[in-house]
Amino acid sequence: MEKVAIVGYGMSPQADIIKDSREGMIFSTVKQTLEAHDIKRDDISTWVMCSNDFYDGRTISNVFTVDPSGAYGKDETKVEQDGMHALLYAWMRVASGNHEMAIVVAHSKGSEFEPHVALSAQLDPTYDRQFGFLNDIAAAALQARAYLAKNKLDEDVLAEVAFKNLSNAEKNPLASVRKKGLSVKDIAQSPELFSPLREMTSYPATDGCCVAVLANEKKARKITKKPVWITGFGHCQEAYYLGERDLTRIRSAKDAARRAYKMAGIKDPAKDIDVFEVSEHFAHQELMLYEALGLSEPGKAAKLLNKGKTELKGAIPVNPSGGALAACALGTVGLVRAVECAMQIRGEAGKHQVKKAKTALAHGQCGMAAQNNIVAILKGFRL
Amino acid sequence: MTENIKKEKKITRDMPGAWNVKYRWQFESDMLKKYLQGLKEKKIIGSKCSSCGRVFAPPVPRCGKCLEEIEELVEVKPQAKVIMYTAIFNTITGQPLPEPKITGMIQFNGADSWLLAPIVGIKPENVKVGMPVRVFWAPETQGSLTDIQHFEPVT
Repeated sequence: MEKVAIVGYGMSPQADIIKDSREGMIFSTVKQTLEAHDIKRDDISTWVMCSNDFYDGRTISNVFTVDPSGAYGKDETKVEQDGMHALLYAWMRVASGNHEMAIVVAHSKGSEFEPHVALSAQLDPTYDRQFGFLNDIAAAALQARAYLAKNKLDEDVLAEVAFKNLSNAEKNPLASVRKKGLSVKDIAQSPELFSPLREMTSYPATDGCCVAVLANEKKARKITKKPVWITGFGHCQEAYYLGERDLTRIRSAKDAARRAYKMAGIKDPAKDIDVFEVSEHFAHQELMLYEALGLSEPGKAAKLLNKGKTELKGAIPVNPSGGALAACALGTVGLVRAVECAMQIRGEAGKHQVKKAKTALAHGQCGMAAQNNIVAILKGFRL
Repeated sequence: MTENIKKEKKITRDMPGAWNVKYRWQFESDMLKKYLQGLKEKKIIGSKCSSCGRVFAPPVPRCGKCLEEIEELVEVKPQAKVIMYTAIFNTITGQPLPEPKITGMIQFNGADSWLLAPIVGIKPENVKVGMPVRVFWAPETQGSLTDIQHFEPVT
């Protein structure tokens, strides 16, 4: 199996509205990525896109994004889950030796569609759509309630998670969507959506595009002095029906992490990994992910948070970028996490840089109440 | 192997459903605006890729082949030819049309790309690939896509 590294990346701002067409947004992000990292388009042989027909409002929507993504005349395909799945498939294509270089392009424009209406189309028509109440926030709210009740936690802990992430986002110019300077109290009193979830403890659907270029070892060493190696990947699905799942924990994230740790040789994630970027579409999911990723004992995640361990300057920084609570172009979120990890490892994260970040974990998810989880381990230059 | 053939369920039921998501797509309108301004004056405006030299009419803002932005506008001739065509006998939902309609891919002289447009004033059996056609303009051009009402054969 070939070793695979991220050798280039690019991101548009994650904004409420990017004043450009979808094609224009993709074009400028891809173009900027190739130019900034001195990568020739012709050296790349396979394109893996991530978006969603529902988000785009077009059938097989990648037919429209071939030209602006640079995939004209190339091998190109699309995944409909998360950008992290696109990264996984691109990684496989290079790891298998079939391609020397691959590019991953994820995008969506939250400003152009009704995210919760589109996501509710995921629901099973027989049982789940009958009352018209269930959607992605409602499903996550049930999960949040299950987690809080089991661990006897107060709802304010959700505001504390969001406060940490939104404070971090203030240092990240690409994630400046939310109002600045909010206090825990402001967040805890933001409008209720589906209790216990509120506006500020749920993701904002933004516009955005994210790009990563992968290369095998031979190419990677030629392109950059700072290749970021992908040393582990783990992926896991669980049951669709919420009623068949233990909603007090995210089993599939735990299994995905275990597989990624095994592959990357991670023994103690809290010690072996310097920075974590996770896709917490809702505040409680970050706590559940601390447990699933093995950063805390089951039920003890809130303690980790309250001790400040997962803050930007803490021992186990989680979401220095601000995470999905700060900015969330659906379908790009996992890839944004991986690119943020690459920026951290290369020391290019600017004001939200974590000191001496050598190994990082990126997490992506999709599905109702995080049905599907995926974990990647990224490692600095010397393998 | 016959025992492995899937047996049909004795009872099944249909359930009506619909997807209803509303969209507000954002488009780049610079090139479209120039094209429409041209139509108002009965001119066909195209865009030319500075890298490969291809001319697109109607104009597009980027060349996918070169991954370059296009800035140069050029005027192409309103004379055109049929690149391909199809005669339409039914609507998309299957209702027969009283008269067959013809839709064609039309290439303006001097352009490399094609425009999809109706061809009127000719029977389907008489249309030929490569035949010259010309724009049938609206009685009053207003700077709208319908200024080109259709194409008609050059007689």
